[in-house]
Amino acid sequence: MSNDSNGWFDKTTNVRWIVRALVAVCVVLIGLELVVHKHGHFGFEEIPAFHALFGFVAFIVAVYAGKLLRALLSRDEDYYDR
Amino acid sequence: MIDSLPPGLLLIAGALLLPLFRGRLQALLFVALPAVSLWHLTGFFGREGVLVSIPLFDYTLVPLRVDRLSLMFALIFHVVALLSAVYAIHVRDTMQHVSALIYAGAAICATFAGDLISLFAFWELTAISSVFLIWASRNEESYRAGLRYLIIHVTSGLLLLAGAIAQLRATGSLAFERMELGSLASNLIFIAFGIKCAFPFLHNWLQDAYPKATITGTVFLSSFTTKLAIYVLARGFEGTSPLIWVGVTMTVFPIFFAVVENDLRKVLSYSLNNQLGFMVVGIGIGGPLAINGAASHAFAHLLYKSLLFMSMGAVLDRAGTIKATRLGGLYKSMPLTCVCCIVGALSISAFPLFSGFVTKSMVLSAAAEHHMTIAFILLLFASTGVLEHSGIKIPFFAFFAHDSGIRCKEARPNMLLAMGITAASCILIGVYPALLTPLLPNVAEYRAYTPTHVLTQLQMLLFAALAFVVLMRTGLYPKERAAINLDADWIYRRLLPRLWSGLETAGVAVLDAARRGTERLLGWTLSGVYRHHGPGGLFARGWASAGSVFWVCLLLLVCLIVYYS
Repeated sequence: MSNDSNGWFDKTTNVRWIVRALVAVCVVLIGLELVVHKHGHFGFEEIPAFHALFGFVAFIVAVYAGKLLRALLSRDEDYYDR
Repeated sequence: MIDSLPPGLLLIAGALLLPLFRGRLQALLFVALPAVSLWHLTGFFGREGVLVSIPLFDYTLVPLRVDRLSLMFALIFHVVALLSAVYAIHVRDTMQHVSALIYAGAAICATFAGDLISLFAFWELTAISSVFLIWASRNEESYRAGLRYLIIHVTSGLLLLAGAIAQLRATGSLAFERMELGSLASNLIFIAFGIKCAFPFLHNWLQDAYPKATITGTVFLSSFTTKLAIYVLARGFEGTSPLIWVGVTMTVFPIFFAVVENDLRKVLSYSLNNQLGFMVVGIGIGGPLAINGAASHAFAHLLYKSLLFMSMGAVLDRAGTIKATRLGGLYKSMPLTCVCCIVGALSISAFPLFSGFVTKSMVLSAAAEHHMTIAFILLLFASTGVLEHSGIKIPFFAFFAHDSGIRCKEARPNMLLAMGITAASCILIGVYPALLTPLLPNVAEYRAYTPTHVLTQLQMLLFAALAFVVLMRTGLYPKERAAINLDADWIYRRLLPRLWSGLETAGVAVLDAARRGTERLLGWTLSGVYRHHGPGGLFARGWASAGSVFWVCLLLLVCLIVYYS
């Protein structure tokens, strides 16, 4: 990789391919549930696509909770120096 | 003689010799010492039991008690000490090298302490030696943070000592064994351990001090203190159920701070706090599987967390900043560092084939086997949070995101070597988890690679990654902002000083009022005295002598009349 400003990840077409690949893998992972029988300690773990949904929602919850926390607790960088 | 020398002492003794050498020779010795000490340690495998005990007055000190749990921690402490030394070999600062090796040695010695007094001695030594890694940044900010760090850790040591004395008075024994919460001794010791383990509200020394230490110092710091605390908790408080909820809290709350933190080394400090939570949950559950989970998670964590701190240190070293707002696009300048960082990120996020997948799931399985539904769900949530801040945020904002325009050199060769070996071991553990089996403290059947587990874990992680893509594409992901977020350290950095100065002001005001009141009272009294006794006052008037003669004559007249009548 060179030190110029046009790296592989700077091209939007390449990034679009990564996103497409991610979506494709996600679809395959849901599809695999038809083949792999899930065993879980808890009943809810056997709900179809439970972990997928959980991961998606939990991520957004974590980010939004962080936003809320920032709204409450964010201060200037020199807060303690003043 | 060498057979009964506690492992780690060689490191401490060798560290004291370092100042006698200069330049390359010192650097060589700096790396050789952990290697020699590791070789020394290997002589203790298979020799479990109390190997050295020293009678002291009426008591017995046990500086060398060996069992599988202590060996596992001592081994990984040696490995990360060696890797961190390679990472730091270019540094020409005798003070940092000496304190780093004493610090590592003290932590290793502490894992073999069989009594509370030996533990106390090494416990305090870790605190006192490590603070120099913070001060070595040599600026006002790190000086102050180091002082706060030192005060908190010395307090932890004093609580441990008080607990040891209380136990001695209650039971007559100094032995460090499993204890039950409830007695004065065990409560004091529990809090002492809790401070070093960064329990909620006792945690903030970590996020305060670690990002302010030197580039190489933080790598050492991130390894020993907190994992020593995990070790002593596993030894002293296995199966103590309040630890489950303490641990769950630790896994969850740092996530939110990490999401919005701008200093990437501070993000890693919050992430470290969250990882400790998984281990604490395992200790709280107790039993062979959960303790294996806690110990092996500590083992894997020491490697990938060092790796992440190393990669961020390399970025700080080359790019000159570690603020997410100023970084981005570094994959072009530092591709190898970027790859190592991603390996660390995949490991901590527990992707299959990486170390975290094998070890974290033991703790989750133990929670599931004990039917702890809420704890289990919260741990799953925390696992997604790990992916957010350590799996995605760290590599994404440093190496990708928008191009910051920074063009720098790839990391130093010794740093790359250390990162490369660490990254390889993260993958090795993930691919061959059986490597860990002979080291585990207990015998417990566990298989990480079941089709269900691999599938559900991949679903959770990749859909969470999808959520990240969606948030980024829609512009809903919070922008990095150059700011700090208040945490529990606000209590002692702002609230208490303000309260104190408030009290001071109030005290001064009260004293002032009292002084003025007294002055007024005195003035009033004095003016009264002046009125009556001053010039022209009633008691100060001159009485004429003629008057006196008159009164004497009158008196004589009265006498005359009385006698002659």
